[in-house]
Amino acid sequence: MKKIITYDKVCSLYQETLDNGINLYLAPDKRRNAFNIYYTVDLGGAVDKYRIGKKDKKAPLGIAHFIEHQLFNTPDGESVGQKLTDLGAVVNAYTAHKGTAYYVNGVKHFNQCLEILLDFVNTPYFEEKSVETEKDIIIKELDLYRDDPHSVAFESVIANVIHNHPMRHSIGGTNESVRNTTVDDLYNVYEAFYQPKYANIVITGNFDLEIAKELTQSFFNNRTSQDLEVIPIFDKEPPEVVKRSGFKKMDVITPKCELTFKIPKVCNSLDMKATLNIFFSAEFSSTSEFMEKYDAEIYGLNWMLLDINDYLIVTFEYESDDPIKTKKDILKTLKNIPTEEAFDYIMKSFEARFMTMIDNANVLGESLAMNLIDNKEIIDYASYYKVFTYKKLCELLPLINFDEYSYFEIKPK
Amino acid sequence: MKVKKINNINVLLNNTKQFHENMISIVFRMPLTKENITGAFLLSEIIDATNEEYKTKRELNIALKKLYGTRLNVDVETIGNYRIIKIKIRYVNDLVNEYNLLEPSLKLLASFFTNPNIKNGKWNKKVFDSAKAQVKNDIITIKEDTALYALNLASQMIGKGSIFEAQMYGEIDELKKFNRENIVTYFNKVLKESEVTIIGTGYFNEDKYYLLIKEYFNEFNDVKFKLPLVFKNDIYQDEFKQKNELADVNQTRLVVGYKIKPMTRFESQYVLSCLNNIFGAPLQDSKMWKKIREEKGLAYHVSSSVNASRHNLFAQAGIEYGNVAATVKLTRESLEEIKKGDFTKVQLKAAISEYINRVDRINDNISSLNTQQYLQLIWFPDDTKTKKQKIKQVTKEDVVKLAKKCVPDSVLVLGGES
Repeated sequence: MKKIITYDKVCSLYQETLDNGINLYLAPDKRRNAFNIYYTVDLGGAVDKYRIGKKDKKAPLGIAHFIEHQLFNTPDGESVGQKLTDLGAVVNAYTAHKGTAYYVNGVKHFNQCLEILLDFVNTPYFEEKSVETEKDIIIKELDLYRDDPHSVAFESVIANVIHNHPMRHSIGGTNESVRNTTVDDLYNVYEAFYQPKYANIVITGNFDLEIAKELTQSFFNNRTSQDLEVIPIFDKEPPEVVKRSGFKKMDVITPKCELTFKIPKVCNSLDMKATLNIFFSAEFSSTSEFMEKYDAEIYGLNWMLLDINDYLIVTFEYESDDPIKTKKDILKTLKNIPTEEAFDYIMKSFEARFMTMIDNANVLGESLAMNLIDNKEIIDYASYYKVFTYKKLCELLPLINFDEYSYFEIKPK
Repeated sequence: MKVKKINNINVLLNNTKQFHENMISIVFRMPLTKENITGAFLLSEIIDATNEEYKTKRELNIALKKLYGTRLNVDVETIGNYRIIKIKIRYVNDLVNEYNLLEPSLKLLASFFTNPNIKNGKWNKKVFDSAKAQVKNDIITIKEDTALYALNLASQMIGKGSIFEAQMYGEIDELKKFNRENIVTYFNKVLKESEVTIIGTGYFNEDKYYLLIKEYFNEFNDVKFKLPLVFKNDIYQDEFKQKNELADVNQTRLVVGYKIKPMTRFESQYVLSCLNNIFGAPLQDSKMWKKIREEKGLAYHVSSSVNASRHNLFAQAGIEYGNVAATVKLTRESLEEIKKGDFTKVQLKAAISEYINRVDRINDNISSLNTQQYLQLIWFPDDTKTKKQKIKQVTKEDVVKLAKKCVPDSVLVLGGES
């Protein structure tokens, strides 16, 4: 296996691509007691159309999330959760916009845990009765998010920013799309996307590298990927937002606000995300003048970045008693350029964050899995940020255009 | 576990090369009173926000960033009859680079008590106002997190007639009583009347660690508590009492609460965990998971939780309003089946394995390890090895016996308007 990142004297990340295209990323660390196994697939909530070879196909909204729920059923009727629970391990999964991850955390019985994970993700068993029961469970899960004002605000503002990209819809789909999903839909989409060449395995913590590799190789011995490429189809996205503002009344006490920007990419995604992360850390974190001013007026200000084809979608979320004033000040602050002093101490704190990330194999595993889902590759952020200069920040920042934005507010009833 | 007494502080140290950062926490333990419920929250927003040297939050945060992203956090929690304030500092240790951050970190931690941001007997206005606004927001917005709010209401119901009838996230009326002057009095009272413990986890120069604590921290009072740690909750009823609170939600929150009759130490620390796992959570072969979610599809979220120091067992589910009675019935059935011994050896083995897995994971996480050291001191002296041995001694009969000690108490329903 090829060593691709050295974290410290004891722990490194090794990579290998098997013949069928699946990628293994292994970071053994005997200082830990537990191991964490992630299986990621390049099918996320943001897929509603895809192409196999030359044929275009449609997929119901929320299909990736539905498959994630259903894969836990096995032909032998014994639940995956139970099998792994019996080994003292914990299993779960999540669907993101760009991918799905299945994971097992355990301490003992590594071989069995890995085999069970590989087996259930690669053995679809979608059966009419359980698909129908699952629809009720999924709709209840969607209801749960509809009761959360932050989720409602976020999904609403994203729908007001994006015209065509399926990311404008909820990852779980709608009640209607869930109700209309059929067993055939599940099998068709599963067979298209759940191929080894669109999957990754990430293992961190206490395990033996050779054993992990051998078990995986042996499992995939006769499992090949199809020759035809499967590609999600996205319609062209215009630069404008759909709607400049919106609101909804809910049972909240403090208004919940989302200010979301649609920013055309001016350089590669990595440089642009880094530039924005450093900039926002300097201008909107606890070290900033902005937060000093708003300390007693804004609660829970944070930001997140979504990457969709030609744009970065940047969302600020916050709670404020005077949301419009806050919005104006955020817009004004976006014209700033951080000082070199601020750049230096922010880079110091980033350096420490990367150094300590491997202390927790769970955090490292999760971070690598998200890295693969979002970027389709592993990025060595520690090395990347080490050579990122203040000059580069000052060159890139003025190119970034914050003109297109939408604002959404959850107002108290 | 070695405990040193320095300046009347219990000082603990776990020297390990497992992590690239060190964590030092200072813990104040005080009796649980109405004043301490809200006061501890307010103080936690103030204590480590500034000091005499760094008079604004911004100045302090810049200083922390310059110390290679050193992080400060405060936790407030309740354990049995006590209120706990824990201030934690985490910094990159000398295994990675010789930044020598032990001394500046301890010096900073001590400064919050030796040199707080107080002038003429009043806490700094900006810091105080900001903290009060934050705590007020936290108290009033708890309703927005329906799962947490429902559990909180159920805890209040089950704690009727005791201090636990109070809102554990603080109360606005209590908060209103605090001003810039009396918060200083309250701060001094906490310093004077608390038992103080410092816990270090990570890679330390041991001698230097003890020496610096002696040098930078003032002498505290030698506080010894007579209060029992575990809260006695011994008024029982025959049937559930139900409370419905209206809320405009898509998903109704249901909490079913049981009181547990007095437990032996072995029961509260080991058997209870097995009972909880077999009953509801977090295992996917639990009684509730199978009956409520998998067989009937009544809920996406189903779980149970226990509070050993308060003798409580709660079952929780997110359901449709019309399914309340059916879900309560299935929850009762789940516990009744355990009382009859209707669970397999495999389920018990899985419950034990989950506990061992959880204990092993403690050593993988610096924060959990730090907390465990403290809990070993005040409550639960068994170390990891002993815990793993003792949990294996739990039998089916033990679980049945404990299940029979669970008495129906409260049903809380949050929802119904939608």
